[in-house]
Amino acid sequence: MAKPTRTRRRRAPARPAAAADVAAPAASEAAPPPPPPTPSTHPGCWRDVEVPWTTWVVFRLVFFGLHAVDAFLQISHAPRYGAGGFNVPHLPFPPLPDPSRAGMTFVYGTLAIGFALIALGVGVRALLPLVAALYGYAYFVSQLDSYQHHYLMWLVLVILCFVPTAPTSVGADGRGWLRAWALRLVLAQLAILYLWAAIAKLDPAWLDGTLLAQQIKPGRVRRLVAAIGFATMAKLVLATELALAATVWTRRLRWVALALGLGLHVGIELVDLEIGLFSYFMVALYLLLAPAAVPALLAQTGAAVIAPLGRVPARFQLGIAAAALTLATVVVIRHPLPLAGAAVVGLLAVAVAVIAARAGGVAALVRPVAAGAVAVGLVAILLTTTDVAADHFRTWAGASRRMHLPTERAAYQGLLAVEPRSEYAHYYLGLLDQQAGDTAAALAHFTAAERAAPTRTRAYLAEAAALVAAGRPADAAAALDRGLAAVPGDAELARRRAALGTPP
Amino acid sequence: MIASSSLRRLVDAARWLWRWPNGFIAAFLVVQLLLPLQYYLARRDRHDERFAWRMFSSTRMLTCTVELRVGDQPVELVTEFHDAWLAIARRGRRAVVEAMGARLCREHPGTEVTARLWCTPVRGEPYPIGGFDLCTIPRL
Repeated sequence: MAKPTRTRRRRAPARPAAAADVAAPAASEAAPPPPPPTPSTHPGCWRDVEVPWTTWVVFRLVFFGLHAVDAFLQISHAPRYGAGGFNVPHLPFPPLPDPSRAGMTFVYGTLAIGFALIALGVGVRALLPLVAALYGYAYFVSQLDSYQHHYLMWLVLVILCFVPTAPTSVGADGRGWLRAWALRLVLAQLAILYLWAAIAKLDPAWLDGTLLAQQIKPGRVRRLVAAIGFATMAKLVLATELALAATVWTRRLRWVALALGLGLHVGIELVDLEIGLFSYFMVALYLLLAPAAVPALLAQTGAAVIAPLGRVPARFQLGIAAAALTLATVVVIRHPLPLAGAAVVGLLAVAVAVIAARAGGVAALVRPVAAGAVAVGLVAILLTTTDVAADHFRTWAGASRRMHLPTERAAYQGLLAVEPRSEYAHYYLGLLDQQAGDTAAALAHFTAAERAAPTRTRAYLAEAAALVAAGRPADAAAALDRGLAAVPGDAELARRRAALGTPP
Repeated sequence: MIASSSLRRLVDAARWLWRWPNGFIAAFLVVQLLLPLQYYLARRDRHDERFAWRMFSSTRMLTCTVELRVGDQPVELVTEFHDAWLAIARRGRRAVVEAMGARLCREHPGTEVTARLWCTPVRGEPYPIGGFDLCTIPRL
């Protein structure tokens, strides 16, 4: 945000759109010769938001990287969309395609890959409007997503579409600078948010601390707030939001806003209000106000980490990146979640970026291909290291069972594909098989459920019931005995076992 | 003379707004400043805090019991609607309950569909919503 004098600067030339994104190195973009000055049509007060290009690159990496992770995490919620054919959109217009589990999984998967590519600076000018539109669809298509921070993020994404994708001027030291009215508008949007949030808190239940006391969970933070006083803290929050509304968009008071904003959002995160990654997004936005030295240090550290890769010949780099991209794509496409379409869209985006960069030779191709490998690889890694896929199938299965939907079996099978030892899936698949008259398959699932969770009694009980129904009381007694051995003294197992008596 | 200079200023302002991105910025700010005002001045459902930046408000802490009936029979909501929709309905969001009612009206033509909500705010007395045929009067 430091505003250097005009004498230190020369305007950077306009570059071809796609090539500008692809060719721009992450931390230290080269400064091209200045073009002739053009008359400005921007309102003066909107022009003076200027950040070092390094700050923008670090912000882009952190902010869109967080978005990539957040979009991926939303995949666990995709099954609630379209369940039972019921939906209420946010707005009556424009008419949007009805959401579905598979459709929303595709949308969130595509968003995750798209955001990751933008974070790495690939195809920003083309991709950002597309992901903003897709994000808007994901939000506005259903009131199931009524998170105000998702609405805020959509607004910010729309505004960020207007940020130039290359430095707008170059300092005497050769470093790039970015001047953009859109950055000021982002900060103004934050100010509006803080203003209305403060107005909403002019409520006796907030001012006397009642609401705060109800929303903070037990723990260290609650004890600390209680020591200060819930009413005092509530008024402090209100005052902070008003101060932020007045300062966050002004250049001279950015230090005040930075301190207050970081304090507020770190505090909100510590309170653990179950608002997803909202605090992280807000802290990332404050990178735009941070002293230039902070992002510069982060960029230098990142550059030092990846510097050894620069010594590898470009052809090897390209080969490794292409292999990693292929591997990650195969992992994503073969996954039981319907993410193949998202992987294909990601590959298409990389292909377009490669075509745009082809004039630069092999070295220029490394960046888009490596970024593609990281983007698709991020999804592949998250798929294999988090519970998102299992949660997706578990919630799909639960809703299908409660709502008697024909998708119940497919949901359990999907869960087994990602979590082969799921007691939950084996147990309910056993019940479905038993209802379908396939006793052998049912027994196999019940036995697998018992192996997966030996101390849960329901699989033993279900197996015994299936065996009794099949005219095999001795085997039923044996199943109950196994259950009693695993859970000694369980009343229900003992009662059923006693009812069977001593089978012949 | 005065009229002429006022007119010129007006024309200049219009030209300024017409130039990119001035009009966009102005429109964006006006909409964003005024949209939350709609919650306080004109919103039909005070339980619906969308687009109003009312984070951690007392409305968010409100809970409602929701009952829908087709004729005399209560609807088993968990078999009809996803849990996530029921959670929103339990926050008293009228649009969602009305959509639920509309769906039941389509599924049971000619039968009365009633929705009754009993909402308990953080402060004040619990209050009822609905209790009439949504197929005849579709808005709560």
